Amino acid sequence: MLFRPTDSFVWEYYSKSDKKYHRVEATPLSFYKDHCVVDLSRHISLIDDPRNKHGLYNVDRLGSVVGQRPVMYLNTGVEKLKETAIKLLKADTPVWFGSDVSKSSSTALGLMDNKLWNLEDAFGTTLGMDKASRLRTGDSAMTHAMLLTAVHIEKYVDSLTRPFQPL
Amino acid sequence: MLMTDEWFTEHVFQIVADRKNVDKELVDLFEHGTPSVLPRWVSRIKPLSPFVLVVLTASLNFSRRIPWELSLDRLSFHQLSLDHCSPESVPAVSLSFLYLQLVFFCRTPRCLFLAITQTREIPFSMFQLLIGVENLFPFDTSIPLTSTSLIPIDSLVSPL
Repeated sequence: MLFRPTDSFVWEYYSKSDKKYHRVEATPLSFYKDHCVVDLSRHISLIDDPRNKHGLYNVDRLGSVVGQRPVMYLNTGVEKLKETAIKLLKADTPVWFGSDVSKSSSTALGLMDNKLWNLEDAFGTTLGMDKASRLRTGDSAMTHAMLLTAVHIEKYVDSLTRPFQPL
Repeated sequence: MLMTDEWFTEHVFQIVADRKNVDKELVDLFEHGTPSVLPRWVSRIKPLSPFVLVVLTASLNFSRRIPWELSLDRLSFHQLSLDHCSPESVPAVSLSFLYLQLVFFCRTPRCLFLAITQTREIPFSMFQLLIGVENLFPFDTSIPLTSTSLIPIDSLVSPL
């Protein structure tokens, strides 16, 4: 064994709800059983990889634990990802997601939007690759994981491409 | 941070969900389906065959006839063919340098190939040779040409 997990550790925090100090002393396993609210073994990964057909995938040699179950991904469309994320958020559950965070985003402005930078007017060019091409050429990759904590839904009525799309 | 719907479409690749919130047919597929195994990595240029390596070595030997002061980054095909090389070494030289340029200076080889064949300086015989090169090196033809085709042709072929 290269590294032995620690026997026990202490976690201290102030709770937002009761504004009090809390101290938890736990072993890794007891922490997972008593304090972790999610059952990780029940969770599955949904991905949107437009290079490949929809279906179940794993990756050759992926995994770092001897005897673990294989890491599997369900490749579905991005609309299915959105639908599932909204369902989870409506059930008051934050959603873990992975994205290419550096594209069209600004931490200072707090915005991630495809129309954030106007390359057309500034440089006279636009970026023409679609999601699959960006993945194939190495331009894009899943670089960062975060949590979705809320969603705001509006019905579109003013767009020709997306008329009356309920989410 | 605030993310728009369009950004989600283009840049989100994965979410994790409790299986009770996922459609039943997807959960069934996850639990009972047979996964397709993806390769460890996807290379953009496939490995060269031994035959191609032999050709390449031979052409590199020919290319020693190039004058020393012509460094790789200042080389243009026009200069090579007209000023600095004996006629019989031109195809070999162009072959080896085309390959080096493809490997080191270009992310989408097919695009460079098209760019070179579109320049008027190249003699017809070399034109034919370049078509041969496309067959010798088995490029990944699934790479689309959309983004880099915006780059001006001259800047790809030679900075001179």
